[in-house]
Amino acid sequence: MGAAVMNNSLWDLAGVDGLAVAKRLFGEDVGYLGRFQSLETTLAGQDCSVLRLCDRNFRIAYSGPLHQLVAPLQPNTWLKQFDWLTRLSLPISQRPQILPQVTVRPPHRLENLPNHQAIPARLQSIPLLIWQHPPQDQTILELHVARKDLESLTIGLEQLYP
Amino acid sequence: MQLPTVLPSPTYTDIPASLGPVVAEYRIAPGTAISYPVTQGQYIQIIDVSGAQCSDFLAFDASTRSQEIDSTVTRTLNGVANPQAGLHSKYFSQSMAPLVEVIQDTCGRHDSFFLACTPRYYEDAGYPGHPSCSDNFNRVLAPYGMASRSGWPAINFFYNTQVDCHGNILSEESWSRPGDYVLLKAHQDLLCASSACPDDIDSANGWQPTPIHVRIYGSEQSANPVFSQALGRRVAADFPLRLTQDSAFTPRIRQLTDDLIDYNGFWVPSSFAHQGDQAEYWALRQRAALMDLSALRKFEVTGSDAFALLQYAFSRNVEKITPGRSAYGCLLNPHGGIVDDGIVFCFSPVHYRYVGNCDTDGDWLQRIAQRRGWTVDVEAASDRIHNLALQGPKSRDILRPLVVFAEPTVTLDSLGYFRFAAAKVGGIPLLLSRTGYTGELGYELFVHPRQGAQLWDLLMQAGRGSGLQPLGMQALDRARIEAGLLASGYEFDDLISPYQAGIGWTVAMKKSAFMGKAALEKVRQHPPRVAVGLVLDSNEVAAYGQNIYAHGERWRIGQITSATFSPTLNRSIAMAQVVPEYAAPGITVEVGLLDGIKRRVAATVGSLAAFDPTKSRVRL
Repeated sequence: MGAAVMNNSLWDLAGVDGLAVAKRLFGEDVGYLGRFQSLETTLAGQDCSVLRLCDRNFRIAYSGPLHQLVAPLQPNTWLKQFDWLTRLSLPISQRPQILPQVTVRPPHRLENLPNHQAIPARLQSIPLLIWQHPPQDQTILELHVARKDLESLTIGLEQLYP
Repeated sequence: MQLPTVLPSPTYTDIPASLGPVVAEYRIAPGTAISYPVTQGQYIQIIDVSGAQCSDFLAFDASTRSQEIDSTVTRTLNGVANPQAGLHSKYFSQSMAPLVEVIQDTCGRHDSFFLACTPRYYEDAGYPGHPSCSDNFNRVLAPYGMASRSGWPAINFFYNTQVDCHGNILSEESWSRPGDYVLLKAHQDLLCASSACPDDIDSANGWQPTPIHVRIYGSEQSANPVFSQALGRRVAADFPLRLTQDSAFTPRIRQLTDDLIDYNGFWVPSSFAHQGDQAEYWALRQRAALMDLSALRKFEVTGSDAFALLQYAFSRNVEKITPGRSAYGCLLNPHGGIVDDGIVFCFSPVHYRYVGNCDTDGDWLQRIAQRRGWTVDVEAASDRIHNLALQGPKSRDILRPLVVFAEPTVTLDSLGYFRFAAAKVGGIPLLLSRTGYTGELGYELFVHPRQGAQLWDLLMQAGRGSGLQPLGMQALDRARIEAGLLASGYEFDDLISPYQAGIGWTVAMKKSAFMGKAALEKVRQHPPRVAVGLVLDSNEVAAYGQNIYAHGERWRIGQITSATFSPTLNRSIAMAQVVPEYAAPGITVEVGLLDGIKRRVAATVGSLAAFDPTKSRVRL
């Protein structure tokens, strides 16, 4: 199946100054992202994926000490690593098998899901966020799921590949 | 399941004709209730026969009858007080399963805060034993083994309630007229119950309970356009009910998004899938964007006194609006209030087109003409003129290879700001004007609806290489606030003068006579408030109606009319109306966020248009 649990290097940033902080860290381009859109960049020499969840809410995949970079900015935001959230990666080649099994609620749409785009969805009633993006130039389907649902999700994915 | 006794169907002459073939129908006598089965996909039309009559509604899953409509769940999942035709249309059960969906609603005011009327309500009012919807529901649900309740949490259709600023839930006479209805669609097999509320001790039912009529239609009607989603709205007592309609472009737009809202009687996109308002906004500011503005109303003003009428009714000096030119201004009332803002296009001294927002604009113009004895015809033309706006720095480049003007001397590059001309775009005949509502270089294309889809396809294809994106209302609103452009109901209404709204420059005061001149001569001297722009010292965004205070003081000096976060300026901005004493650029004021006390944010007064205040981009 190829699903791999990824390291827990997800950071969530949000607050009144969420956009301002994101721009300080990642540049003006992050301000051009629509909701659930993302970009790939580097931060302090390390690869970084930035997903915009709302006007002032961002999720950042970054292995480095992001808190050390944010703290000096003294922003009106919070930065957290949710211990209840985890992520899986799937090869993009499995998209044709995965997406037909997934349901989304309007106004979200699965068809024509482009790169650098995430979408809230459910797989066999398990809520998750599907994020198609190319970290390190390799496009993957990244699934964000609650830790408590990880085992169920893994079993569900394996069932797609009898 | 026990079915209600269905008598041979009489012909009902006191209600509108059915929407289609009827599967079943029930007449609910005043002060009674019925229960009835509905299968998945069927439609339920609840009709107020005489008007001003509340009808409470219950729905349960047919198999176990354990799932019922839960209004708290419904409000939470929808984020609106009551579901409405469109994206947030479903009523959900306590387990978040959709039970029914609002398809059409011609009333627009219902209640889900209160229980169906209860015996206790009447007891407390001095009427022990008075019939109640809850008791009636108990009676008609008992055959299904459903336990009685002292009060049923129903959807109270046509019941007029609202929450006032003090948190009181107020109830008044129903808004519904004879024949008003809600059309629901069942999402699963259901047991339903409907009442004709017996409340005659207050104004809820107009003091006189009357019947309710229920019609059931088959699921095959989903293919019938008559059963399309729509909101019914009335704009004036003497205007017919108007149902939300698609424009010529909506079918194309529906392919790209499910996020549509009713705007001025048309289904318009709020944002587009896989884009969102931020991405759409940047497309507009950096490249080009395409939007459907068919919700604007168009009126042909023709006749020997067409000029005279507009010179009197429209704020601008129409002498200067020569053939091929247009001008922005407003229709005024006798006390100088803005009836509507819009654009007058001049085809000839005996033929103009007014483009505004309101169905009543044409009637207003016609009334003025009649009172003045002018020979002029004002014809509503919105049904045969739909329009797209192509806006953005690359809009001209996209259009240039496509457009051929009827007048050979006209070119796209020579078409000046607020000029217009007949043209063909990709062979499609249309009117092309250099106008817009975004603060960007741009064009509006007025076309017959039968060629709308073709025009949309043509422009989207032509603009692909330039990064053209469709634009939704969220992004449009952000852009127009940046550009300091007015919105009806926010910056102006019929009690606000152009001097207060920020468009005093559109009033040609030197005209010898025009509607509202006498009042405006006085208002101009010292309008109670004037329009300003604000830049806030915070990333928080203000909201319509929030108060503005003098710096360091408790008293107010004005209110916010529109607000947004400007991506281009990277600042929170607002449009506001403040007393003239605090309107000078550079003055620091305070915007009261939340309750106006917990958080005050400093803001600096400046130009109404925070973005490109000199209008250089639109004049490129």
